Amino acid sequence: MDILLAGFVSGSTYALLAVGVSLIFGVSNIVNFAHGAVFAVGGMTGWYLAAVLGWPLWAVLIGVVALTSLLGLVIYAVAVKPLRAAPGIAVLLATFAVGIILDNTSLRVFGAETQRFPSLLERSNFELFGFRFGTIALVIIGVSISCVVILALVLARTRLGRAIRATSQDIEAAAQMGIAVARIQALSFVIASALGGVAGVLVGMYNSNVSPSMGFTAGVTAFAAATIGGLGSLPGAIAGGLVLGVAEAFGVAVGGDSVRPLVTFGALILVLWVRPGGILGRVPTIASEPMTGTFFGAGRPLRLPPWGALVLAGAGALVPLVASDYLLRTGALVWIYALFALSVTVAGGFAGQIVLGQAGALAIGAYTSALLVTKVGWSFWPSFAAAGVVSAIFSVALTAATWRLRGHYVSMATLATGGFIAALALNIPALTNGARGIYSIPRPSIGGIVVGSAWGMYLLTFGILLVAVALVSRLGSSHLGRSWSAVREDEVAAAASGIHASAYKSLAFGLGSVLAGFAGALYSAQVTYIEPAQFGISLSVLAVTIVILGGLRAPMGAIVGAIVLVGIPELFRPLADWRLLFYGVTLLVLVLVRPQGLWSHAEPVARVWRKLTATRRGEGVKA
Amino acid sequence: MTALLSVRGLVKRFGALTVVDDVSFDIAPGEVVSIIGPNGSGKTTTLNLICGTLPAASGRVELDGVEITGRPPYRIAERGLTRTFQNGRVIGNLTVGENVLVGLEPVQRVGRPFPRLRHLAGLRWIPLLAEVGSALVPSRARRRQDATDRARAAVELQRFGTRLAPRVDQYAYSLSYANRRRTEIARALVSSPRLLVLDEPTAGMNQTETAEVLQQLLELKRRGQTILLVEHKLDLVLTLSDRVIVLDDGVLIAEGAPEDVRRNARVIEAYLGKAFAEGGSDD
Repeated sequence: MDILLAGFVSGSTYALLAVGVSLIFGVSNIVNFAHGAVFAVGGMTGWYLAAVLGWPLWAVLIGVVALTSLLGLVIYAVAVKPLRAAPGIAVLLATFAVGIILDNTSLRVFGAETQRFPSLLERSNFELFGFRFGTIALVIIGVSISCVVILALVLARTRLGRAIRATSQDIEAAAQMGIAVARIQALSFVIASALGGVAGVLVGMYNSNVSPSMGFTAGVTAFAAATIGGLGSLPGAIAGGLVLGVAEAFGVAVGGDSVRPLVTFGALILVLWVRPGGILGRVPTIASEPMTGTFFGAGRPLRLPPWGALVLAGAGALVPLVASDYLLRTGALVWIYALFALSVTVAGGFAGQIVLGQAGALAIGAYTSALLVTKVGWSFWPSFAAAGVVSAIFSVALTAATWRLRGHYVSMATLATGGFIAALALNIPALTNGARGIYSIPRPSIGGIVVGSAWGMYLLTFGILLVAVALVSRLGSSHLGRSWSAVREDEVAAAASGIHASAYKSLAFGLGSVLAGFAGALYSAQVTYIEPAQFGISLSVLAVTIVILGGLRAPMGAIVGAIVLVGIPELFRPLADWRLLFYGVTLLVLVLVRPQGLWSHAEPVARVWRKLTATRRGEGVKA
Repeated sequence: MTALLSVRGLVKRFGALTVVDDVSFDIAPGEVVSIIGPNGSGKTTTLNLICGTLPAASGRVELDGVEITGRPPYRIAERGLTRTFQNGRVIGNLTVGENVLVGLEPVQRVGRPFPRLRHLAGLRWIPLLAEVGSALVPSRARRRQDATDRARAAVELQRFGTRLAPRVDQYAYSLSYANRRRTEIARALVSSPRLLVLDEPTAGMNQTETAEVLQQLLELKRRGQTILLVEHKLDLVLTLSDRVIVLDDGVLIAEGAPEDVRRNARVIEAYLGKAFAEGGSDD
């Protein structure tokens, strides 16, 4: 009974968050990755107002709502509005970047420590049927219910609500009817963020502590709840939140706190398998035919001539002659991340599936290789091969039921598998050593010689990356690449032309997972220590980010992206505390300026190139 | 003579609305059949049901004696039924030539062993992985097939003469609306389907372009291609069709030779209203 109540309390805060996620998804068709950060900022601000300034609860709530509403507006204005014409994934990454910026700003403002949230309400002053509970539980459930009821009434009864519902049904038709769509979308962000802030305060009070980093997990849990309930459905979000809250409470009661992510992601996978539309939602049966003119030519990769490839490969291989060990270790890591990101090039760039769980495949590869080497005594190379195979088999099996779905559902399902795998690694200590991880993984050896030096690992990873890039390019330009393109651009048309879309999607994902598995094996050999916390969802997002910003549709994109997003921030390590903030800002700026990726055709680049060559010619004439 | 396509009792509901209501008809080999009807009468939905793009609530569709009801579209395409779409669905980021090559997928055999396994969950990984192998290290047969395929696509594009053939390396997103439709028709035809299904092939085309498409379709008909099409332009329908099927509110209200259907009182009523039909039946 206590467990059930605890479940309901945390469930109703999930519901508050999930309602925000669902509202934004419904109105703007956007997965808002900054939602968790808003929640955390709400919690921290609530703590500041209550503990430091000593405000009463009602004033705290008003203050937090005012701040987070404003944040919602800012998120919309900065990350969403400028990208309305860009592909959906660009918006997702922009909100992710804003999330990082918010998290780290909050970290700088409030400090990194977990703070004690004053309990403004009694914790156990009631007793009913023999079990005790406090005003706080009632207030949390009460506030959640009344927020949602008020929202539902506004949606159902008012003109504004009708405008919101019209926008969520058909943005273009709503705009034609004179609804200021942009304002409605902005409003959905404001409402959602206000609810998120309230949830932050409530959770802070209930757990009696808050920290700036509590947002990300909460955000992901909110997505899970919203998807379980049915994306875009508000009653669904509530149902999903409560179901997930109760399920987690029972899971934690049985197996401790580490079971929580296992339950969250397990439930999400299960729902997407059995009833992908969620408890109260449904997946649209047929996508409307794309209207003429919606094709975008943007993102077409630049073509690298063979001599250019040779020059670049040569230059990359000669780096050890001039670079320090530190630079070489960073370089090896960059090539490993590039290999990892190549898995997204195959699944996302070729087959069009935005997969958000590749950290899972990387983790399987890393663990497979590390365990085979340290516990079974295999040498590195067989374990490297096994890492790719095992990773692919697991990834394909876990997502087998996913590929009949499209778009956001694929992203959600892969996010769930990625999270689930990391949670498994945490929860089967007999095999994986649990949270303590695996230590002193030996370096690989070639012909009996151990590759331990910085330049050795650099060249090894670079060589493997080159082979992988060559293979992936070959796949992309083959008839298989053509089939993938057809699936990527128009699944219905591809199916009508005789292409089994889900099989080819699964194939692309499986091949991608082989690469991620290989990258995992190299990763474990490079860093010599692995633990579940390394393979979180932000790593999956990083893989997608690398590829999107580098250029989604050519293997070179993964390399360019890895250099920019892994290599350069690594060089800014002296900035320590500011590094992540810097990373978030870089990410946001890149997404805003070049949503189609660096390694791609874009008119401004071509113009600059023409201007440069023209100037040179002009100088030549003068001289 | 056995029918190439046989449709029996096809029903589709969207919620409480019955959009296709007990539709039955046959198409003989070599026949050109048109479905006409007012907007919203269920023409495109009927096509979508036949091609497997939408699942039917009930009814039965047979292609050459084999039931294809409820099969996924890609398997129906493999059995020799290909189609175009109402608004034109070309693959924007592939070239015209590549778009047509995609149309050869249902008949690709080289480098794809065990075609039967492709329909079995789990086991389909054997042919899939073999295909990956052949993509990475193409056999000589595969390369020869690639060349043959390209030649075949070029021949198919030649049908549209100077309209498409010179644009073979252009990206499809850069094409005009009419050329997208042509590309789509070429994609559907390149695998030499037993039945070609066209959903408003001349939508958005001007008179000259429509006349051109009519000539191309007449040429196909002369070669014995079986065609099922939905079309609004009655001139084209009357010139081209052996038989016309008329839908109204999802119900088949008339079927027969173009001339008979044109005089049918129920058809005139459906198109122009009751008063018109009664006035028109006098002359």
